[in-house]
Amino acid sequence: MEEGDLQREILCIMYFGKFGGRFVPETLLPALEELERAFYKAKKSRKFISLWKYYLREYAGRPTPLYFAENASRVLGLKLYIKREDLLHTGAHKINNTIGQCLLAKMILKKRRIIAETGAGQHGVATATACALLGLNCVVYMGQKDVRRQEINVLRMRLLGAEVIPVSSGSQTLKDAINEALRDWITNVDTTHYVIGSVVGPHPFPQMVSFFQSIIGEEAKMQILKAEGRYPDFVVACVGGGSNAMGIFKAFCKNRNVKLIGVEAAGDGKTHSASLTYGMPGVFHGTKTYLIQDEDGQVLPPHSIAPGLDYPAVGPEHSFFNDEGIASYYAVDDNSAIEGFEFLARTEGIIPALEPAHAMSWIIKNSKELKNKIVVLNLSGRGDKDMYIYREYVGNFKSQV
Amino acid sequence: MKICSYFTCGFPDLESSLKIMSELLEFSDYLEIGIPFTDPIADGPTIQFSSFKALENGFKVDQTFKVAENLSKSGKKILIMTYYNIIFRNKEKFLQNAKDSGVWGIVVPDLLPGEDLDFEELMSKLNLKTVFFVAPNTKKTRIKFIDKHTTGFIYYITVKGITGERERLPDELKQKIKSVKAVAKKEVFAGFGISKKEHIKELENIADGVIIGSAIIRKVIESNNINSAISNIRQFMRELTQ
Repeated sequence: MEEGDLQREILCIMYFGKFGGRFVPETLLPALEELERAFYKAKKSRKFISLWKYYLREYAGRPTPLYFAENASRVLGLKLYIKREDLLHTGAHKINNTIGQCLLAKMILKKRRIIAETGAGQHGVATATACALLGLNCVVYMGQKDVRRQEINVLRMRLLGAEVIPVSSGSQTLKDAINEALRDWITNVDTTHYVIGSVVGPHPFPQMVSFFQSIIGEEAKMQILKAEGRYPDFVVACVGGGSNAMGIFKAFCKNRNVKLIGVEAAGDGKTHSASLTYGMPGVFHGTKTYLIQDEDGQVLPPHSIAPGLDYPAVGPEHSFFNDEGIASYYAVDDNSAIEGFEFLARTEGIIPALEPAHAMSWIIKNSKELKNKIVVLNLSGRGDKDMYIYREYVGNFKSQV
Repeated sequence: MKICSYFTCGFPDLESSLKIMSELLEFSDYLEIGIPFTDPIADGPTIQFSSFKALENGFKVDQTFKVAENLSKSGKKILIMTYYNIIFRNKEKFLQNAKDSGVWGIVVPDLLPGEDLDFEELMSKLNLKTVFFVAPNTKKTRIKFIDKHTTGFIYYITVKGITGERERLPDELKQKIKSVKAVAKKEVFAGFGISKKEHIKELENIADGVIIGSAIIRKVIESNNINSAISNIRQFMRELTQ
């Protein structure tokens, strides 16, 4: 085999079609290769998998219910099932991944220093929690603006024993927190594992995070088959980086009769976070994927009322799913997300996080086309964290009226 | 010992950056023009600051080529340094513009050799030189691979970390560079953290060249105006290269 051919073959493993890859400084390559080996080893290790599943079951509260939302179904004229990731420990699906990666760092990589980025604080809290559980040192990078907006989550992380480092460079938000975490990793690569919070970043992160989240879809598939005796017509999830969506899509993507719907944040009409809907392919945070950027390739600041969707790019596998038509992606704006938020609270007594409220809103908007269909909504997190934003939104709205 | 200096295009503004780079050319064999990017993950606070300032002041990528055209008249080797998204956005046009403005080579800190073979083919078609990196933790077998993909020089990263000045260079640096040189056919330049005369002396007869960036930019940050920036740079470079 020619050297060029071999190189092309290696690239195939790291890419989803033309998306993905490893766009990182040379210094990180040994760590990514080490991580790739460790991940493949972990996946095959019965000991690792059973310990990970043990913690998910006994500590985090898996399996989560697939709840038939009777009231919402009646109102919308369809059959709505809700995958209750909001009931997990720390209040969101993030813990599936952080326990997985922290366990991998401890058992296989033998690294005891964990770093993570966080936007609103959910992934930071989930990482700090896993580190407290497993006795690891935890450093969380968080944009200065987010530190101010999310005081309580900063306090939670500190209470859990993590060090929170505010990032004051660039736009002082999630993307800059990732930049700074990457810089830390480049500097402390021998001793440190970087727990990325979504299906983004260089290979093997998108594959690995997708693996740890795919437990959502595996459960949901069994549960819907038990409840309905067949596959659903639609699976709907919100997409920021896209870990909860990939987590539930993976189990259904081979069945062409199941329509997979990813819902992005269309923001406030001026700025948005809908990289698949409005972005262009680019290279960002180590991967080739759809990106919100200007004509020069400079990254534009994203916006969404849901802090967890406030990211200018998206996981490379979603870019692949988008281009191949494996899943369809739509964007829903801030106001509509609030409607989804209030709808679920009032019809079902479930306050969703603002992120999956986007997915709920898409279902409401399309309820005519979805009539009598079986729809699974991935409710990736609970909304307690968003009460400040909701209060501000309601306040602004009232002052306008 | 060859000197390669780095400066951020558009910092503090376009015109000043051209003046500063023209000055730097007097003391350099190679000049790297840095194109600012919103998310420079391999850069420390100094180069980050200069990049964000340039972008705030309305820097556009196309301006780089005018600057390059101007500087390449000197006959010295001009390189462009930027993150991959800036190139990827309009790959063919970007590389053609670089070639047309007399650029010799392109440095991309977040592009590994072999990751984008299409880029490397285009580079070779245009006779633009690739500069790939070797880090302190790069395996020996990989150095050969990097050397094969490199058509310009190898950029040896002196420390595991990001760009920025350091008080001392690592003790094992000389040995490390020797071991890279033993394997690689291309020239090896050392960069990251080089900011003092002692650093350059230390690497004399070991590395083929050194790359200086953050230390130069700091001189500009510390100056009150463009004239004092230029005289500070002149003094600094003179001391460094004497």
